[in-house]
Amino acid sequence: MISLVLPTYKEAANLPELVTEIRDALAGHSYEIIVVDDDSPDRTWEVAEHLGPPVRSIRRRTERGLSSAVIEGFHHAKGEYLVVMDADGQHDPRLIPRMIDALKGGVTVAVGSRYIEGGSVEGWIEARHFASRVATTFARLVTEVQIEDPMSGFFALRNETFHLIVPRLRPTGFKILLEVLSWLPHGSTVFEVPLIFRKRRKGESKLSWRVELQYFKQVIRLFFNFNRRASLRSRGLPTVTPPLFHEKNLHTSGATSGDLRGAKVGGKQRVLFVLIGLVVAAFLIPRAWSLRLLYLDAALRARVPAEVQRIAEANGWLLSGVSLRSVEKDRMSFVHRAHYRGEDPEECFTVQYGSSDLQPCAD
Amino acid sequence: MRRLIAIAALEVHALLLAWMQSLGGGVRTDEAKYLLNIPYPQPPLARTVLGWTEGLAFQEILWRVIFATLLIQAVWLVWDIGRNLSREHRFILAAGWLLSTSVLFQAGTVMMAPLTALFGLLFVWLALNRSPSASLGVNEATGSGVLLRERGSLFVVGMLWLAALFTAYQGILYMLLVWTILRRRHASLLEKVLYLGLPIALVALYTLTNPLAIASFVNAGGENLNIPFALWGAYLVRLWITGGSLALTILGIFGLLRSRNVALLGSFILVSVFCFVSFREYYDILFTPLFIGGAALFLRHSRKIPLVPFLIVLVGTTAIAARLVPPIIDLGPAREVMRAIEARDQPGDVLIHKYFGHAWQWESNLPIRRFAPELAKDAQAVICINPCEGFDPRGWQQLPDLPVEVWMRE
Repeated sequence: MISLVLPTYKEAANLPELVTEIRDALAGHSYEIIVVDDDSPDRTWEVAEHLGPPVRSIRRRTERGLSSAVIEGFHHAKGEYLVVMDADGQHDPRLIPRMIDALKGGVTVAVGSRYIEGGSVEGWIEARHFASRVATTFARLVTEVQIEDPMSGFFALRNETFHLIVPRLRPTGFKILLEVLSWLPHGSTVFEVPLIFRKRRKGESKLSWRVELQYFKQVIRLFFNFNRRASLRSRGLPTVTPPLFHEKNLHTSGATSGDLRGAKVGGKQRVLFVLIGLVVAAFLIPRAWSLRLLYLDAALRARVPAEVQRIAEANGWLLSGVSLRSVEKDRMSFVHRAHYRGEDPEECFTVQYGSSDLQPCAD
Repeated sequence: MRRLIAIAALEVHALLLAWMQSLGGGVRTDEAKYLLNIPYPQPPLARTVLGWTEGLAFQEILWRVIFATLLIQAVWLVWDIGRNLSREHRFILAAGWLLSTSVLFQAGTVMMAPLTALFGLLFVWLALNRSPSASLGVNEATGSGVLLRERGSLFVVGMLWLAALFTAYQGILYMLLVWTILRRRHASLLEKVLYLGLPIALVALYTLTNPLAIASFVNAGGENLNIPFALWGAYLVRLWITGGSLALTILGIFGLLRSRNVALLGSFILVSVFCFVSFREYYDILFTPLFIGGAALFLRHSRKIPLVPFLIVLVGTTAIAARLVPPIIDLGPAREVMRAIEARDQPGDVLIHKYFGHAWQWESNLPIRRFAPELAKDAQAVICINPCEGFDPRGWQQLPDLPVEVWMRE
């Protein structure tokens, strides 16, 4: 059986039409629809009750939040397959059978994706597209599996998968799929189905600055939660998929069955770390190279500090204000910076050893 | 709500400690180095950030508040280190952090030792803080077997380690903790070399670009030669005492020895050796995170230690430890003197004879040079902290009522 959870808040106007669409899309399937309503002022829960079976309504009087509503709906679900979608008509219920087929074929999570070939978004302005892309980029930092649309609100998974990971899910904010993807066991597969994200039919979007802030807090928490983000290997989960789903939209968490160490994700981060190291080294190596004689030549090692001391005393400079730039056999160059409050004047000089004639640096 | 109230109360405490540090009427010479981004003795990360605010009139109090906040609010990390302990034992750990002399007297100072200690606490938290079932490999939800692997964490650990080393060289003393963190996260040999070794190589490379830092190592290593060797051990013990206000010290060291935790014990030995060779009073805070880790390990396996008696003992030992190392209140005459000079609004440099701390530079909006008789002709003021040799006072007038001899051009 399919349990379809619809988290709602002020969707009384959209719900009847959506349920009709769902009935058409899931004809021939065994299913229930669980509407989880956050005590909407337009009495969405009441509208749901009047729609009759297989629609069930849960009215939450004290709790708020989309993620917690989804989790609560999943807890009440009787079906083997759990699906969640928006109740504002933006998600097409006709994708549900394909997502269920994927789960039956062994996929762990099926996701309606706006950002794969065949998917799209209707009616957004450029700024909203850009913001969504930025948010998606951040989301990919914390998910076990790298998919194109980790922020989708339309996805399906098996009930047993949900119960495996639910102790670790934190039901805050809007993006429950992000939490799910962050806690998937090794060997999990995610299949993305192209989704055309339709324009909202009626009512207002719930996206606000508060929601966006909650989202970034969620990403930060998941990113730093490395002590608790244990990858699980549970015997109950299928890790082998039939050839039907060896498609470009199929993604696997961790490496193949012979290696449980997650080489793909770890590899990206190793590369990033090396790149950061190279950037730092690129700044430092030229400077260290220009001072190499100071370390390699014993005579210069003794002479240069004495020269710096002499020049500093002659000009009344503090040694801490003199930074060597290069050391050569017969001369050296340095920068003098007078440290005091405000902008510090800086001058570069070249001087021959034994001379007091400070020449400005060539560059 | 309760947590918000606790955060607010801790913040008030942090503000109070920051304010107390500002009562000294100036900044320490070491603080001035960082506030002015003077390129020694530490690597550039933290001091560069501090230096960005050099032009702000409220730079000192701004950073005192930030540093105090970081140190005091770090108690939440301590609280989480005690996650598997009883509530009373968690309070013991938290009180140990907040009431240790090192934290009380260094919260609000703009120094690298407290920042290094914060990194140390972070590493202790990472090294100790994991689900108890993790080591058993048990899925908490289903009881079935698990293979544990935290992703993303190795990169973060590597970046934290890089940041710690580029903040202060003393960060290297916590190397064993970082090694343990990587090992427990099943880092491969390549990953251990990369995330542990590359930052060390980079900071070594940086040091080659800054010979002044190398010179300061040599100087620092030789300074204690003036202290009788017999006293070196005594100074080290003093740091242990003030690092944990004795009560936490005892709990911490007991815990380290009993648990035989290699990372913590090894770090404790490294820090002790470093402080034995290169004693500074403010190095006591480098021990505090290690004592917290040791105490947490001790409390995990010990019977209940009553909270109230422990707090009484802790307060008492803090008071005793504070007597051993009273805070420095008077930070010298630099502020008063520089304000008097700048009030006269004359052009020219300020010359100071002979050795002076960097606090004089921080208090000045004017260029400062060392006094030499031939430089006096272009100067507006001469400050004789020590008697000025070769200074001809003709054409100069002495400013009255200042704690040091100050001459201004007539």
